[in-house]
Amino acid sequence: MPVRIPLEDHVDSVERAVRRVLDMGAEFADVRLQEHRYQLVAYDNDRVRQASYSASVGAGFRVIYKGVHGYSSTTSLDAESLEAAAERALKLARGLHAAGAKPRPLAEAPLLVARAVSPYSRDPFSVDPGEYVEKARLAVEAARSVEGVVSAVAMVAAQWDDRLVVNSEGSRTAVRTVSTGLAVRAYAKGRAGLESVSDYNGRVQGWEHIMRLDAEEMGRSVGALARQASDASVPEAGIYRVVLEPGVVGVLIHEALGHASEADLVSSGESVLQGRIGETVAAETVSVVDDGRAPGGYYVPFDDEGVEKASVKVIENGVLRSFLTGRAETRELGLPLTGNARVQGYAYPLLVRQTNYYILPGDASVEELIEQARDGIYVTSKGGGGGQVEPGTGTFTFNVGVSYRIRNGRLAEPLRGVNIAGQILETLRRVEGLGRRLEVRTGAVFGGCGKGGQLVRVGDGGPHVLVSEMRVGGK
Amino acid sequence: MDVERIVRLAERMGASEAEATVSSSRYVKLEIHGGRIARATSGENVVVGVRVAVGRRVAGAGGDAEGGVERIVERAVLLARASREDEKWPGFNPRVGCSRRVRTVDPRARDTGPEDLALLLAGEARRAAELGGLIVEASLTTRYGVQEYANSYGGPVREEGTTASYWAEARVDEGGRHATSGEAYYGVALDPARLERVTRLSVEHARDALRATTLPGPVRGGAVLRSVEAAGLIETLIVPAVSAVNIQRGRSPLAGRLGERVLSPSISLVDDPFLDLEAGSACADDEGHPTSRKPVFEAGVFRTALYDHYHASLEGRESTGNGFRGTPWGSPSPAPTNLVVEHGGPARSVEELAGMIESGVIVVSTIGSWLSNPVSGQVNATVSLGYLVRRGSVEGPVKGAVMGGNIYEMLGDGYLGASDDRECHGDICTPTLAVRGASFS
Repeated sequence: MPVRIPLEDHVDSVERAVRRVLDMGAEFADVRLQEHRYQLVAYDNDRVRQASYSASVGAGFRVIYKGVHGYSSTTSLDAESLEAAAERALKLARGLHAAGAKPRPLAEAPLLVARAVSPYSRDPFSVDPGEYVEKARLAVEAARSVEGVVSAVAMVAAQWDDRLVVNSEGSRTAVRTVSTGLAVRAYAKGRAGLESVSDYNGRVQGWEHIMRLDAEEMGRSVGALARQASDASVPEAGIYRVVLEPGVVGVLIHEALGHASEADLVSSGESVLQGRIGETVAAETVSVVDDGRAPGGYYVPFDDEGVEKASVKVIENGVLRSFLTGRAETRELGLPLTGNARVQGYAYPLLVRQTNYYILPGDASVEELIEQARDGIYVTSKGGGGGQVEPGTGTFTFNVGVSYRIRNGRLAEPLRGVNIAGQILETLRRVEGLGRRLEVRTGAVFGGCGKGGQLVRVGDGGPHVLVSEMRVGGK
Repeated sequence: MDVERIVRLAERMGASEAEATVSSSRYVKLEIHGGRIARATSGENVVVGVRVAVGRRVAGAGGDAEGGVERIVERAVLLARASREDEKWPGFNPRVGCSRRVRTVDPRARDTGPEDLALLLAGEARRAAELGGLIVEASLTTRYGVQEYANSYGGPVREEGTTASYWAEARVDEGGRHATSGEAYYGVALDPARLERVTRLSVEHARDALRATTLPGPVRGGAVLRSVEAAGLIETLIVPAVSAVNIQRGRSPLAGRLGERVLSPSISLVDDPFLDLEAGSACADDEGHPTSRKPVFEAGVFRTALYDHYHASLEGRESTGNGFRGTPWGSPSPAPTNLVVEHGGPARSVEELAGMIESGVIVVSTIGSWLSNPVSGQVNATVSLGYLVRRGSVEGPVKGAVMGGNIYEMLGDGYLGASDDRECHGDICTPTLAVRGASFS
């Protein structure tokens, strides 16, 4: 069993608060305790733009009364404040029940008492903050040394996230996740004007990850790419054959398919996948998984409902097999429990969220996929701005990074200002080839996935993917 | 929690100067899932943010007050000592005070309890059903907060405010097919009329999305940008470009263009912190500097960037009162209060605006407009609902087209006219705009 997490010192008082609301008529209660710390140094051109630290501790209760869920939180972990928060949650649930709210009873879940700590060897919060500054400075100076680069910013960040979930059925899970990362953005001025490119390298690891990173190499590489983008042309808008790099595949599959496979969106009628379990929704070569312990991804051994996170095959050989669930959705839709109920922090309500969502690899080399594409675009992620999707229709749009025209089966001139758009199921049916190298990445300390006003850390990825037709926006 | 005492504490613990913010807030959030209210969340917290300078080394720290103010201050001083000296550090804002107060608190948003909010939300679910739709997801949130600021040179300045937000995603099913559409409101007041409008439009747009087809082919021409879509593009493309940080660091297409005509002579963009019950209204910014009303673009001419204290001092000038921060412990960055689009021409109906563009799309809703590029001004958004305009007439609904163009061309020589329906969406207030120079593919 890993080292005890200090939040566990509060188990007796949270259990008392839980018993208290059960005595008052609640049928179920659970509580999420969290201690969260975050430290960031941002180095901007020639000076420290930001050096900051934040810390929060608190507890959030969910109390269920006649199937109706009420949530309330407190930043005080003394027994009295915990009981008061639990009672407020019960009061909210009773009030909503009286107003005719929809009951959402929970499915049964296995009793689980467990503790997990992500692997790390050097506590990033015990490191001299001057080391953060130095690493960021090296990246910025390397980026600025590239001809044409007019400006650069680098950020070094660390996160410490202890979570404890206790419920009225006797489950108790504790998780510690320690993460670090370096991000660089460079701005360059070239023939086409001003362009920017960014990249990040985040890991669920301690300071040892930052020590291993070659910040200068990362800075130079981002600077060079920004320079290339600033000289590049914008493609003619149209339909192209595309080879998507793993970073693009990850964002695309997470946003356009992953959200549609979240069972809360399925049950509310907002998913293009509703009613399609067992149907062929993708090319036969395509299989998609959600796995809380994927190497390179974020670390989610248990969800925030105290359920062990299963590795879920959402699509298997093109056939839709499963949705992602929490206990309420499992009960409502009669689906297997997958351990995907997560929160941004203790004060937030549970939502169904992805963990690390990715396409499984095939057997082609990147060169073979580009050769197979013949005439098209090689789409990469560095410098891309992310994307947005309507899960109800599967419509997506993504701003991607510096890309390259494919001519005669070879990479040709670079392209900037590329965006891709389409409908996810049509896109997955048009997959013609999968690369053999799987890459799963997480921002770890940067960004994440937004839904319902909450941001959670996730990972995503896949191999290189060849798609026969995709709409590319440009000129 | 006394904000001035935190400043004194930081000075005792080794800071040469310090600033502190204490933010107290409480909120209630109710959510609809599958047509019925499904859960409620409430919470309250007190967050402390401290920034310190040790000589010319600066850092910030913050968190929940319960975590211990001393620990927060100690960490800020530790970080500052480890940081690098900033030779251009001007000190914290020396002019702390309040300009003019307008109403920033809506008693209904502040005082309505969860039970009454539940009734209000349940009424919207019924309204959607009466209109033939189903609210598949919605949330209604009210928040009341007080923020106090002080630094080594003055304060405290106290700001009080409410926010109310309502977001609804409606679904319409017809003939075995379905479509969804979302609408949102974010403002200071809990206004039932705004809630009703969000519900009604989300159902109407879902119904039109059901009939929408893809474009028959690429369209080059104009766009009628509904107020909310115009606001989204201005937020993504213009706001970063007028920030002094981006101009000074060469990251803005407006660098070196002060005094030039950048937009149409018919358009002015005014930063106005004195609008009653609007989200960006404030008497002081986040570093305690008094706010002021000023044209950012006047008759198309770029008149001023937005400044916080630090970036103003780099040019030897005073802050414009636009120093705002994402977290109470973060460095301030320039941002607008309420950025208001004013237009000189006559107000026109959407049909008249459609006639002005001749061919193009009336853009009702998009996804991904925030992916547009502020460094180049390039627009990128996918139209989730629009209406095709051909030969000046409005035809059927369309969806799925990628909109391109450049914001400075659209709002420059491409600007055609505006409607009289100016609305504030967060801190951007704009009417519906008709522009040329848009492409749809």
